[in-house]
Amino acid sequence: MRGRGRMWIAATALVLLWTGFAYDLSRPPDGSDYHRTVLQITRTAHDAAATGALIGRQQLDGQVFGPFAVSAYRDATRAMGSARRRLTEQAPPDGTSMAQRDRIAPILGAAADHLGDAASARDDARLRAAVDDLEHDVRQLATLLRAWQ
Amino acid sequence: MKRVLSIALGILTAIGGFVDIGDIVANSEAGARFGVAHAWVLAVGVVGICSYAEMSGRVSAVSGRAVFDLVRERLGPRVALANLAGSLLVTVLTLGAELGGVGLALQLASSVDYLLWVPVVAVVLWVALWRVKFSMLENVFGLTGLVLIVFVVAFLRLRPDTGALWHQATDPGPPAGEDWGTYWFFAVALFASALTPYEVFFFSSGAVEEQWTAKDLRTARFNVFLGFPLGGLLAFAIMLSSATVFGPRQMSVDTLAQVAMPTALALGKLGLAAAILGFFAATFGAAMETGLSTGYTVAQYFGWDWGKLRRPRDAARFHTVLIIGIVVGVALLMTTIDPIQLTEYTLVFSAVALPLTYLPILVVANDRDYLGDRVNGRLANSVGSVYLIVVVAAAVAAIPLMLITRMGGG
Repeated sequence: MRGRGRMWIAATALVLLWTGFAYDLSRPPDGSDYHRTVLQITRTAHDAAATGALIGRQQLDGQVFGPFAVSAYRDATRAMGSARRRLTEQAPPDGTSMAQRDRIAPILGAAADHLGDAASARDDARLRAAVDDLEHDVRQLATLLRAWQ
Repeated sequence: MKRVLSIALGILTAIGGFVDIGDIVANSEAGARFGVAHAWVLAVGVVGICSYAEMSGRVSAVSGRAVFDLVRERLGPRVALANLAGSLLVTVLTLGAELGGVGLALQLASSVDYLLWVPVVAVVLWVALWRVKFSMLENVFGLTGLVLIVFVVAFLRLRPDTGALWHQATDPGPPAGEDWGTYWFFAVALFASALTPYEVFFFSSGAVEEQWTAKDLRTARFNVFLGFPLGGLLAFAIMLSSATVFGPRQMSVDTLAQVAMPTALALGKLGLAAAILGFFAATFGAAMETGLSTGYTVAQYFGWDWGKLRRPRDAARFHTVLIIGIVVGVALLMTTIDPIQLTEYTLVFSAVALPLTYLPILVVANDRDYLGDRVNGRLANSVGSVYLIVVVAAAVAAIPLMLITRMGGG
């Protein structure tokens, strides 16, 4: 086969691959796609809340310095924000998906608030309360993860 | 004295080359999600990089020329161009990731956003590569990078469940909640992080810069077989401490702050400071190596004068490429892509480009015109050939695994 023929085959294969990829990304999500997305959102929120709780405990124990805690909270807050954004961006395609969304949405909202409370706590008492709340959120998110996996 | 300095090059390559942002991220992520179920991948990667670094060091020491220089001469401009394109793309991406890593380390120490640090880091890197002596850079970053040993100490202080870790290492596979696709995606990423192409080009070009000869072969082997396993040990300690802290909490790791947390938990502020200093040294050292490797590969392909030890006016094109590489790396980060994500993408593309780097090295290391009786022996060829198969398998699997697992997201 000549060089030009090979080039056509390669180009056609590339276009087909790209078309398939584009279709996969742009088709409306079904129930299983939504389930997968919700799982990822729950996992992200769980990790962000757990990170916040861990940093808070380390702060209370005097194990971390200020700039590090600020950075870690900022990362966790961003992750939590992106999880909430993803949840609102994607509409649930069916009743089961809607029930999943309704279950996770309030926990995400509470966890985001508690993360903010921990990041801005000015004394140990407030920080401890925020960390306790975050640990409660982590347990709830972990329960959901186990149930949905 | 000369031998001691040569060993320092090995240690620098081990710390700045083996333990770079890719290793830090990949080992910590894998440790959190899979425990030490990928320990074997790390071992395979260490043996592979030792094998090919030894070959490229031998080629340079005996022939007095860098590997890339010989690849073009031996295999022709077309094959060398494919090699150049693959490794240059990956090296520039890696340079961007390393610059981001330095920015993140500085963010952890100062709380100032990493994007504000990146241009400053780029200028300091350029000045360092322009003005500071090679030996000075080696010593400062090689030795400072060794503080990453804090992860070994932290792991020992964390009172790990050694029985569970041993079980994970000896019976590898995905734990509950993870699947085989994600397991293999992380395996490919870890393997690629160990065999990043720039490591062999830097090692080989560094040998030419330091004017190694056949007499230095023993030193070169000492560097490779001590330096890279040392880097592997540090990388393994990061995986172990991550597995110990995050595994039981069923957390995954997505940020550099999380990677450092085990040291704070085990050793408090001092441990945390050491970890951040280690991140800084390892990523800055690797940024230095990737920056130089960008200039090395292009200059060697086109036959330009090159070298850190040459005055910039005597190797103007080499230094220009180096500056362009740094500017492209900064531009990548200024798109606001997360440096950790950039690192993950870099590892995938690095896996794809691996055969383009390692096949030519194997060919050149068997050429008697360059190496005389110092060509590969039976053992080196057997190991090299087996690794070539593994490298091709990783390259073929990398993109499909990335798509199927959505970058390991599951």
